[in-house]
Amino acid sequence: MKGAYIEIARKTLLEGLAFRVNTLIGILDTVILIAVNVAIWKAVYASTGTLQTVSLEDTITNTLFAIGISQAFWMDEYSIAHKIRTGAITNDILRPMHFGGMILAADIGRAGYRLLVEFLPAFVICALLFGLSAPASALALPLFVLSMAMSFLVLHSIGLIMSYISFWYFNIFSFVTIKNAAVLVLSGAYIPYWFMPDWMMAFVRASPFQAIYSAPMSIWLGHVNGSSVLYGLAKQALWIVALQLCAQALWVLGRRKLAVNGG
Amino acid sequence: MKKSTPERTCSMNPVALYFAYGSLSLKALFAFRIDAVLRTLAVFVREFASVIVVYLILQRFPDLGGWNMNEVLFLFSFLFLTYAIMIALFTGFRDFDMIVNSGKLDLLLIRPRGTMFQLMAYNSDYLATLGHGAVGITLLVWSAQAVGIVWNPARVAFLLLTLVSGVLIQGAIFVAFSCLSLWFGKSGNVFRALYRNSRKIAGYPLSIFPDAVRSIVLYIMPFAFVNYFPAAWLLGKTDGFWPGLPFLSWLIGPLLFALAYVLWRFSLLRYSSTGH
Repeated sequence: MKGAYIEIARKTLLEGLAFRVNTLIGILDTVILIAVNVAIWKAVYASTGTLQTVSLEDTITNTLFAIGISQAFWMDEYSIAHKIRTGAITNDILRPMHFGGMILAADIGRAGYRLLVEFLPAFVICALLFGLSAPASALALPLFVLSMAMSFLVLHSIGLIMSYISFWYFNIFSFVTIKNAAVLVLSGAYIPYWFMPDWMMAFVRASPFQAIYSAPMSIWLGHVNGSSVLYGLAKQALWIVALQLCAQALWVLGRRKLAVNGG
Repeated sequence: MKKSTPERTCSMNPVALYFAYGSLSLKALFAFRIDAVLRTLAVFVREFASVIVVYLILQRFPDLGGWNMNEVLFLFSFLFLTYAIMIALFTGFRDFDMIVNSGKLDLLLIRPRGTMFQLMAYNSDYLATLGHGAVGITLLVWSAQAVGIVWNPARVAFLLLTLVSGVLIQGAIFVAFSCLSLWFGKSGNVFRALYRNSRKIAGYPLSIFPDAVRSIVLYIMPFAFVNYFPAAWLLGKTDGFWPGLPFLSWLIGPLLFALAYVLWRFSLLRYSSTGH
């Protein structure tokens, strides 16, 4: 049974490879996006760089990882919403598999493709062009990977909640768009958490947004040490559980609401 | 509105027909009123998010390549204003891939009106106009006051000409990429990636970018002429660029659009429908 989920992930990964031109565009897109943001940081640091508590190199490292990976961790809420709206979702419900599990497998496959085939080459190019800070310690590297994997799960869970809204609301464009804007500003990719004003940081700390890119980046850069690393990881895990419970509740309630034409 | 029979629509003058189309677009968009309001709000929030990012960065740093926060927001406002007007006119070219692939283009071709006219009139996304326009006007009014621009007739005329040219530049880009769709079937992905990145670059002073990045908004998608050079002139900056460039902006819009129109006519001749 586990094999079926792995197969779904594998198939979505391969699906991405089918369109070679898109792959090239994806790499170029990420390189340009990172180059633009690095230029912005270099320009602002040129005005008062030495006064900042966090070095330009660390800020660039944040840009390379967080913006680069945010391109890969892009959820596809609309395809599930489309299934719910058209009733095609009944086919998926009839399968002897867990629906959320299938979506997770597909999301992992898509993110895997984008990480390996689009992000990785773009990252290598940008690292050569702009440089980056080494991980704070040997242990920081595996913990960073673990934390980034949890960032993916946080984004996946939020995406799932967004798609399930379509059980009640016909068009989820507004919800998804506002969510994406919030992630853009609050996740720590475009404004690293060390440049957020205090009032914003207070909100971010109490929200799942800190569990997105701020958590893994603080591990890589060594801004957290010892037990606070574990605390950060535990907080991420808690957010995943909370968001998943929320999604599951919406799924159970939504399925009851599901009315397919002619049924 | 009077009931429009086919005979009546045929005899309408282009302006009346354009407005007839426009009112139908509005009706379609506002068929679900709450959704229309929510979608406009969502576009506003999405566009405002990029403004907030700039605002927060420049709260921590005094300037960005010699531009302070108000100046950068002034630069930003042109992007939103021109896009708001442009999208009301060129939605058909934004969605062109879909129109071609669904075979709808063939329908437009057999009607007794220009194809470009129909694409411009039909199904305009006025919600995007509202969302972008609201951000643009807010930013322009606020930042122009903050940087202390004195609006004399010459400056107002300069601004209006710049906006017209900025709309034409982006319209030309949309039309040109639609031509690529006619030739190669699909160009949406290349287009969207380039357009998004160019707009992002154009939100910041051109002088901060390395040459490779600059050349994207100077030669591939000339957004620098939509906002950077005109805004720099209004703010009394040159950043080391040739001082004639702000005035060249007025020429580039009409020129690019004329070129795009020629390419469009030529590409339509070659079009042989999809699905065979």
